[in-house]
Amino acid sequence: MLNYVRAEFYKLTAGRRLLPLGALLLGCELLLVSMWAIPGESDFASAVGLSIAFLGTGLVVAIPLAWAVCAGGGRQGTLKNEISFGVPRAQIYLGKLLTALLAGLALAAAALAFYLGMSWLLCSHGEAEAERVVLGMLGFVVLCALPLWIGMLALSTLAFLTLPSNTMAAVFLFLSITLLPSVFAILMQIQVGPLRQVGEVGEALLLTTPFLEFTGLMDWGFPVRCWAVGMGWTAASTGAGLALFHGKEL
Amino acid sequence: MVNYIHGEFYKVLRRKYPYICLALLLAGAGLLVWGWAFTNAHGNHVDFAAGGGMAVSLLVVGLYATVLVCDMVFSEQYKFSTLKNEVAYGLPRRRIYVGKLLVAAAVGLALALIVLAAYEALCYAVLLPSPDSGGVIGQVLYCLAASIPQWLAVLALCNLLFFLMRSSTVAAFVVIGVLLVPSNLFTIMGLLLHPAFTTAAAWTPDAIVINAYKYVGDGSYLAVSWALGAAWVAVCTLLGLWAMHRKEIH
Repeated sequence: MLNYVRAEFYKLTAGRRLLPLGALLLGCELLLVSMWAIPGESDFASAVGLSIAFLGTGLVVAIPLAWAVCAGGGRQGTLKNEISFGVPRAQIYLGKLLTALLAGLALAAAALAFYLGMSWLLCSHGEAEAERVVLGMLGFVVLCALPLWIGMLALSTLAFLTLPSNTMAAVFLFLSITLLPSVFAILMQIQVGPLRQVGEVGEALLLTTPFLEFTGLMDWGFPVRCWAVGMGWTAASTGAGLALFHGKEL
Repeated sequence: MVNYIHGEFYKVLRRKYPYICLALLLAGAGLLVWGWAFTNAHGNHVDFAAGGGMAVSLLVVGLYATVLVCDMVFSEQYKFSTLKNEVAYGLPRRRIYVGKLLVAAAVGLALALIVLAAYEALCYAVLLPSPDSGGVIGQVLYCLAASIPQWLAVLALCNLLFFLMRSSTVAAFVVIGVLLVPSNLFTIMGLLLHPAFTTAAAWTPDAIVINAYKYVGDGSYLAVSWALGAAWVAVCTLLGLWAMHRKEIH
């Protein structure tokens, strides 16, 4: 397993997919920080506070990241070589998921460090105590966001390894982020009891919902909920993925 | 040209892909209506106005579905190196490009109209009647009229990228990026830098489709949507024809 993950990691870093993704992410961050800092009226604490509103981007980034690890296994790909070489299918699936997870953690850490570093350099500085408080808030919120990102990564791995077309997988994954929340939001707006309950249950289970609540008041029950939702998605999609990948004809 | 279009139609209609997509979309619509019928059976009151009117907020799916439609018409011709056969056979490149665009537009519109008509018919048959059915249909048709040019605009962009890029999945990611990034970026820039960006954000394809319901009956909104859509189609197609003319096809 360790060897497989190491080899997948090598493939990922030697390929030409991870680098453009990382460059795009850091470029957007640079644009954001400079937009925020150049007018000159922003301090480091508010720049850190602003970043909390953008953590949802991690869900979107999880999709191309999973693609970068998993794609290339189709009809003309190398996946059937791996299988005929004798690597167990469960190991292939879990190995790719683990590779995506490690790469995702590294990417998230790099993106956060880059954002904080650029803000530290470009923004003016106020009270040290206020900065410590807002950094603590960011840490707390990242702790909540982490399981949700992992859940999306597991779902994306499932889609790219089991659906027949990568393009189809990408479209359905993006739709699950952009469309499902608005469907449930509409259901909740309709003033019909059970319909609203369906909307509420759906909304509570979605990976996107907690990102809308980050700016509100939070207690320790909130990260527990985030971890339950995120790990639930991870477990469900990995279970379904292992079952489907086991029977898939390559 | 007519022969080429005929041939492309033959190819796409004999693949399983459009039928799988149609089945998935119809199943989604059916599930939604079934959910309402289920709550109605438990003492609720969801009428045609609530259910059928919700189609308005589902039109945004069409923006993403353009990727699927282009994918089914283009069918990974670079990956399987079959585009060079068409070129070597002596077909003008212009005809290949425009022919595939027209076929994709026709297939996409047909899919959209079938799904929408089936959805409304199901709602009409299953849900409780409402006094103002004609008004609801009129509202949906207005939003449809505002959405079609935006769908075609994104379709033209898809066709351009599928022809330019070697990997269809990368092209799909770029299209989704064009749908997601500018509208969000302009919204942020409108808040941080200048209100003019807020106007720009309102003119991006997904904003036009999502906001159409607020302007029902307003002819100038339709005119703006059609003009912007035509500009997208013209720019993308000219760019595509120029690039296709020069491109080396392996």
